[in-house]
Amino acid sequence: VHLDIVTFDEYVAARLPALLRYAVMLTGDPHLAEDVVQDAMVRVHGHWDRIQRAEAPDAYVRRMVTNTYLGWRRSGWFRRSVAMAQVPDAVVGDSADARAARDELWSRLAQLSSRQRAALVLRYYEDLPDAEIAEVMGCAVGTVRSLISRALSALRADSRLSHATSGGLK
Amino acid sequence: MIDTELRRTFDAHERLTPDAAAVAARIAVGIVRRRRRVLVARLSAVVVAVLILGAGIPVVLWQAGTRPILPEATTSPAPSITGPVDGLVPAPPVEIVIPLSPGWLPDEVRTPTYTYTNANLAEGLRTLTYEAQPAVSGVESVSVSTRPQASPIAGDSDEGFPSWVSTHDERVIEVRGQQAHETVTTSISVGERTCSMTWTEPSGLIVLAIVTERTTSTETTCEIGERFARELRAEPVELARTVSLGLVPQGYHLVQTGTNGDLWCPTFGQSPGCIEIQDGQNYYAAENSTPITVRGHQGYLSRSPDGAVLLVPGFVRLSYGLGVPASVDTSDAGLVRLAESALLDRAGW
Repeated sequence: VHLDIVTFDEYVAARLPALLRYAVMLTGDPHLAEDVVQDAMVRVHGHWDRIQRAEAPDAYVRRMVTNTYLGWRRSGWFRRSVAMAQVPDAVVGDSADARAARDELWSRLAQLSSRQRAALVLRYYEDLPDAEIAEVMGCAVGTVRSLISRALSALRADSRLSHATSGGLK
Repeated sequence: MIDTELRRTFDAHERLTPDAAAVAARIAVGIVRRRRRVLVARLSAVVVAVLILGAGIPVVLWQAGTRPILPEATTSPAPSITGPVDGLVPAPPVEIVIPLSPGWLPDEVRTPTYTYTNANLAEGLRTLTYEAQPAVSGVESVSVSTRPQASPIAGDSDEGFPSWVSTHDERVIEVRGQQAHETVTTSISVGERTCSMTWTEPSGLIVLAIVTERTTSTETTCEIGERFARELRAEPVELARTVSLGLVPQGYHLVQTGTNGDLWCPTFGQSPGCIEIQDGQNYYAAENSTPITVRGHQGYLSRSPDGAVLLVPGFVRLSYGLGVPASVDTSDAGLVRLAESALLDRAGW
C-alpha cells in the first residue's frame, strides 16, 4: 500500500497493534516488545518523509523493527534485562494440555538464535514467502531456508529430549 | 505438524500484546526526546566548535601550564572494608564535585522533579541538571557542565539546525565577566526553546550552561538562561552518587559516576572489561536466569558469551561485558560478592 497521503500519526494509529503483536512474537516478551517498537518507531518518524514514499512502507517498518530486535540481541541484551512475561489467563476452550504444549514450545523458541526465531516468526506468524523474509532480514533466500530448517530441527530435537514426543512435535 | 503448532503457539501468545495506546504515547515522548537530544548535542557541538575554531570570539583556550583548578576527587578507606578480599579491594569513596554551582534557580526547578549528575572522570567532565515538569509552560531544565579543556568534537558546525527547529539565533553575550557564545533555538513541534551558553573561565575551565523552556513561542530570547548562567557561583557542589561499589577488582579505576551509577574499568578510560553498577529499580529479571541470593534478597544472574548481568530487582544491577581480565573473579560467588558490597541508600538494602 502506498502511503503518500498518510501522516505518521495515522500510520501509528492503524498499524501499531500489528507491529506490537509482531514484536511480541519476536521477543517473546511484552515489555521488550514495547521497547523494540518504540525505539524503531521513533527512528521511523525521523525518516517518515522517505518511508511514506516507499513502494512498501509496511515492509520497511517491519524491517526496522526486526533490525532493532536483532541489533539488541546481538550487541546489548545484557545491558537491559528482559522482562519475564506474565502470561494472562488462557482463552476459554483452550485445554490444559494444549496450553501446556504451546507454553513449552514458546519456551523452546526462546532458546533459538535471534535470527532463527525471526525467520520462524516471519514465515509462520506473518505468513511471508521466503523471498520477502529474505528482504526483511537482509539476507539471501537460501539463508532464510537454512535458518528455518535449523530452527525446526532444534525445536524437534528439544521436544524429543523433553518428553519423547508423546503428543509432542513431529 | 510443527508448523501448525508454531502457528497456534504464536496465535495463542497474541494475548501478551501490550496496549497500543500506551505505546503510542511512549513513541510520542520518544520523538520529542530524540529531537531534544539531537538539538542539545547539536548545540553543544556548535558552541564547542566555535570555541575551538575561535570564530570571532576572543576566548582563552586551555593551554599547558594553565590547567584550571578543578577540585579533585577525595579518597579515604571504606568504612567497613579495610583490606583486600579475594582479589577485591575497598573502593575509595570518591567525592565528585562540580566547580560551579547555581546562585539562582527559576521557580520551576527550585524543587526539581529530577536531579541528574554525571561525572566522566577520564575526561574531567562534570554535569549537574535539574529538571521540572511544568504543566503548560515554563522552565523544564537547567544544566551546567564543566570540563577542563575543549572537547575534541568539532567540525560539524556547518550542518545547520534540524528541520524541526523553527527559529534560531546566535550572539555573543557577557557572562561572569567573560564573553560567551549564546545559541537559542525554538521548535514548535517539540514545544521547546533551548538556550545554550558557553564560555571559558579565567582559570581555563570551559563551561556550558543550557536552559530549556516549554513553550511554543518562536522568540529567540533567553532572559532566564542568561540569568542562570550569570549567577553561577564559583562554589563547588558535590555531585550525588545513587549507587556505588564498596569493593572493586584490584587495579580498576572509577571512570564514570553519577545518577546512572558507577562504571569501573581496567584502565582510566572506557575500555573493554568495565564493570557497571546501577540502581536496580525499573529492571526485570531476565528469562533463563539463575536465582541467587544477595544480602537476603532474591536476585537473578544471567550469563551470555558476552558477559553477565546480576540483578537484584529494586536494589542493584551489576553487569560486565567482554574483556574482563582473567584475574577478576567472575564466578557466581565472585559476582555476588561484588553486588553485596554495593552502597545504596535504600531501606532494606
